[in-house]
Amino acid sequence: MRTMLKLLCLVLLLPVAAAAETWRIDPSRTAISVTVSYIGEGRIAVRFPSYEAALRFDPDRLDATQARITLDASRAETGLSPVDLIVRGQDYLHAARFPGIRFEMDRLTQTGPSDAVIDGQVTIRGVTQPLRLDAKVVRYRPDAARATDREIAFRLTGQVDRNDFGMVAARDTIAPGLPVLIDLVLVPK
Amino acid sequence: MSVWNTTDGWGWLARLFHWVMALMIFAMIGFGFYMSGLDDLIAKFELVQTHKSVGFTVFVLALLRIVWRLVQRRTPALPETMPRWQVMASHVSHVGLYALMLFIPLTGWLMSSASPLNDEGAYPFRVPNMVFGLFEMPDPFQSGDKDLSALFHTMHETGVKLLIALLLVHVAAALKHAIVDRDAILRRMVRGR
Ligand code: HEM
Ligand code: HEM
Repeated sequence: MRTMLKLLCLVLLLPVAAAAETWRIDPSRTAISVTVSYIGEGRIAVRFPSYEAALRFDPDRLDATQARITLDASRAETGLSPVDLIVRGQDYLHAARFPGIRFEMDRLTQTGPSDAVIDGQVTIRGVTQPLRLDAKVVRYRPDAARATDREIAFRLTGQVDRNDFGMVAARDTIAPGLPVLIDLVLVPK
Repeated sequence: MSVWNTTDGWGWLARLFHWVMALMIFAMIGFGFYMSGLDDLIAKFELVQTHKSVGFTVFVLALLRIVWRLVQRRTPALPETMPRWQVMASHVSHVGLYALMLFIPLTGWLMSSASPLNDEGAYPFRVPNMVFGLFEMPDPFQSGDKDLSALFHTMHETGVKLLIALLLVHVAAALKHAIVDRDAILRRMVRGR
């Protein structure tokens, strides 16, 4: 009987423990990129491996999510160093003057069992514009595949228009729309 | 195993040239089409640079191979039973293959050096025609011209298409000699005699 009671207490306490859990970004599996399209030629993915994020996230209270992330523009990379210099240079990110690309989240609205929209403000080259990201939960563990790990993986997609931020070089060769792709993996702290 | 060709077989150097270059050229054709269709421009850039280096090597090997072919008095004779038109076709197609082994890399080089991207101070950055990162190919066009480069590109591609057509005939003929005629033609290019 005493053991039963103990067990019951434990089960009742569990959700509390889970709720108190806070989450952090797993940098080794998180990838942030935008795609630059050369009209009629192909595309170049610009990745942002370096960033700082502040996050308050609770799977049971999604609407209370808070997030802020600052990407290090001087570390933007494409895989080819002469192209990196152009991307970071004054025609585009102008990292020497505007070292951070900031996204500040205003609200998260759940739109389906594993879908949400995130509205916020993005600041590039010192210009702030609204940005909406579509969020999809692509993995929620523990699941059938892995019963022990706790993790939540999101895919966030959206688009910024480079003209809105004063990146107006090479208008006839580079498309204005820059699709944003964020593969975000959260693990407990 | 002689390095020299004889009247009934190819020396090892001629065979080495033939098969090493055959491999390189097949690979260049396959990779060439693959890379030119790539959407990822960074991956494409790296592959095109490698393509230029290997293509340059093919060009140099082709020159050496032709010199080696010309300095020898003897070459394997064709079977006397072969119809005249086939003898003619064989000579013409071989000359065509040698010509394309020079024409294709040459137009590739001209296309790349005529491109404005190859110019000093090019925007967004200058693309040099390096050979395996060791040295740069000569640049006959100090200031590039997009249309001229496109013209050489068309010639490069047309050369490749002609080569593919000729090679289909070439390989089919080699197989016909081996399987139907059961003569020594394929064997002497593989084993020497
Ligand atoms: C054996 C020699 C070579 C072969 C078989 C070969 C074959 C090909 C093929 C099949 C293509 C794709 C079709 C096309 O886009 O035209 C191609 C494209 C190209 N080749 Fe070559 N090539 C050779 C040598 C060279 C050399 C020596 C260079 C330069 C120095 C070169 C530069 C190029 C370039 C720049 C492209 C166009 C890539 C693009 O923008 O789509 N090639 N080649
Ligand atoms: C599977 C592929 C190939 C096969 C089975 C093949 C077979 C042969 C054979 C049997 C010969 C000897 C003809 C003779 O003894 O009179 C020959 C000669 C020749 N092959 Fe190929 N070949 C192949 C690929 C290529 C390629 C890719 C090239 C170059 C583009 C090439 C260029 C030549 C040339 C130029 C000769 C003439 C040699 C001379 O008389 O100087 N071959 N080939």
